[in-house]
Amino acid sequence: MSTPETSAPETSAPETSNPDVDPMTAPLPRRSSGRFGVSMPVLTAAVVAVAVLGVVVGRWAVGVFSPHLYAGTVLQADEPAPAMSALSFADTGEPVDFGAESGDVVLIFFGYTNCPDVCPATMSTVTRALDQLDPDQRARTEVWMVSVDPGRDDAESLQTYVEFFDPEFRGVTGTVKAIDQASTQYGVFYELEPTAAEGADDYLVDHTASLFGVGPDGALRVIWSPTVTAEELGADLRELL
Amino acid sequence: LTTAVGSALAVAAMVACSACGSGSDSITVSDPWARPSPPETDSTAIYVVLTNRTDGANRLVAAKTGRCERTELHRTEISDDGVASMVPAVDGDLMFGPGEELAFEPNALHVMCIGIEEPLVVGESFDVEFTFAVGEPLTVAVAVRQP
Repeated sequence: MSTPETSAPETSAPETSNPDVDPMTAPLPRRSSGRFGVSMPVLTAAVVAVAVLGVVVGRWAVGVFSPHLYAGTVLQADEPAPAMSALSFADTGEPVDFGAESGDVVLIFFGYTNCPDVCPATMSTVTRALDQLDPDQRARTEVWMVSVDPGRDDAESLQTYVEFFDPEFRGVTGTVKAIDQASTQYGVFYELEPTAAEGADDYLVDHTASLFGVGPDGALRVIWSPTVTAEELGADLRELL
Repeated sequence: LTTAVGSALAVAAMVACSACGSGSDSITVSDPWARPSPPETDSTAIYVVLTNRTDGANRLVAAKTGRCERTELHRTEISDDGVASMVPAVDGDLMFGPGEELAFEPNALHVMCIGIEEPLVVGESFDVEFTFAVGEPLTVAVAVRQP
């Protein structure tokens, strides 16, 4: 932003005492109109400049001081997220452990590989949300999918499934008892539903398709509906990180 | 200018109609697509927006393709507390009156494709035949892509 010409009188003032310049013929310093020695255009420019500065500072202040409005539901409790330590990561077989991921945000989704609509829809929303993060934020965001269909999803197939969406995603699975325990802790409901067609291996799973966001402090911070957009989720993740 | 606009409209109409597929010009189709099938799964979903350009009500009866052992018309319901369930679409879900759209989209109505032999890969397309209560069936080229 340029400063108006209000400094012109000072810089030109010494010229009047220059012995080589005849004070009677030398051009007058630019100090012409206005009661306060400032011309109307200059005054207008100054007012505009202050107004523009005000808007800029105002917007900065809003960005800095106003709370981010999460698209997800924000939880205020500072309790650590349920540990799910009876479950294992599908890639390493090691027990689930938030401690090792301390400082990271963990996104947890309960789903199953034979889920044709809501699970891939949510997984691709997550993938696109992660695309909006910078490399450091991306590196600090973990995505875990907990299978609610251990009867069909073995660790290997679950891990292959999640890596289809992003090679960094991790499957989480375990015994029915451990999955039941984890889903109860997260308030996740799931139930096997036979499809219209016959066949013992052919069923759908009704399940809570919300996304759970564990903050860098290890507390469960945000729950998103599966209908959240990638833009909303990306903005929330940036804030949570 | 009128001629230019006229030819532009004619071209647009031709382009639009090339998306209609064959069989019927009374139902128009936009953005037919299918999710790529993740490995280890034998099902995926097909989406499309059908518009009824006729002056009578119609209903989608079925969507068939050789790429899926069978197809079912489903609707994903998401409750206020986030529980997603898939329910078979009922006739009422599949009705669309004159000028109305029947939109198959994520987390809503979708054609569930079950029993995929060859994985659906991004970039390919395959034919799906939509049959209606009224009029000729419509064959549509469905592109496999990410949302």
